[in-house]
Amino acid sequence: MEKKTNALGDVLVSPELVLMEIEAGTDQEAIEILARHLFEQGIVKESYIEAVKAREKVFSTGLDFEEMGIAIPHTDSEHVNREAIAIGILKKPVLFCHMGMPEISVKTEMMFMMAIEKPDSQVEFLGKMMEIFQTEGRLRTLKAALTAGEAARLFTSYFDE
Amino acid sequence: MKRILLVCGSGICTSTAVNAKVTKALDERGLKGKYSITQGKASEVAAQSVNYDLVISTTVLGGDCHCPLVIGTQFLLGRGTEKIVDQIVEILTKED
Repeated sequence: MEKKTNALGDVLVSPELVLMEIEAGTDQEAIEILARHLFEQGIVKESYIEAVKAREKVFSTGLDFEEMGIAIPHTDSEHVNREAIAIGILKKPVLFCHMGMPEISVKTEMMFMMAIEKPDSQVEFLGKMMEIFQTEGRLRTLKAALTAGEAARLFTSYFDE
Repeated sequence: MKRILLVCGSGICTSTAVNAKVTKALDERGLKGKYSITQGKASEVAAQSVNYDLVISTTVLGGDCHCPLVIGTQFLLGRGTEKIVDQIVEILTKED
C-alpha cells in the first residue's frame, strides 16, 4: 500500500500512544499518567514528566471547545526523543485551567499530549489539529472510540481531510 | 511596518498555531505587508515588548508588558475571534 502523507507529517500517532479510561482526580494526576506512558514508550525523556507537569501549573492548557473541554499539555523540545501525540481519554472529566484565562475551569474529557521537537515545521499540523477540534462531531466521535486502535485510526484520518 | 510579538508559554506550540490564524485574518483586512510577526516566549515579554507595537499572548504573562496586549486564545477555539481581530486592527492602524 502506498504510504500516505497528510498534515500530521512526521508526528507519530499510534494505538500504543492512546490510553483509554484514565482515572484521575486532578489535572496533575492525569498529566502524570499520560506523560509517564509517553516515557515508557520511549517517545520522551524521563525529565518530560516533571517538566510538563510544572509547565501546566504556570501555563495551563485547557481549551473549552464548543463540543467538549480538552487539554493539550506540552513542554520544551529538549525533553522529547521523537515527535508524537498521545491521546488520553478520561473516565471522568477533570478540571484544567483554561489556556490564557486560568480563572476559567475547563471540564476536560480528553488530553492530547504533544511531544514536539521542531515547532517551526509543525505549523500545518498544529493549525489542522485546532480545525479538527472545532469541527462538529470530531471530538465526540473520537471519545466514543471503543479501542485504542480505533481512536488512533480516527484521529489520523481527520488529518486527511 | 508594525511589529507584533506572539507568545505562549514555551514559544512553540500554541503561538505557532495562532500565527497562521492571525496572519490570515489580518491579510483579509487588507494589512498584508504592513506588519510582521515574531514568535516568542511569555517570559520574554517584560524585556522584549518595548520593541513591539503589540503583544498577542495565548497565556498569562508574569512580567510587565510595555505595549498594548491582546489575549489570543480565542484563535485556538475558533470562536469570538472577530472582536479580537477588530482590536488588533485598531491597534495596528492607529496613527503614531
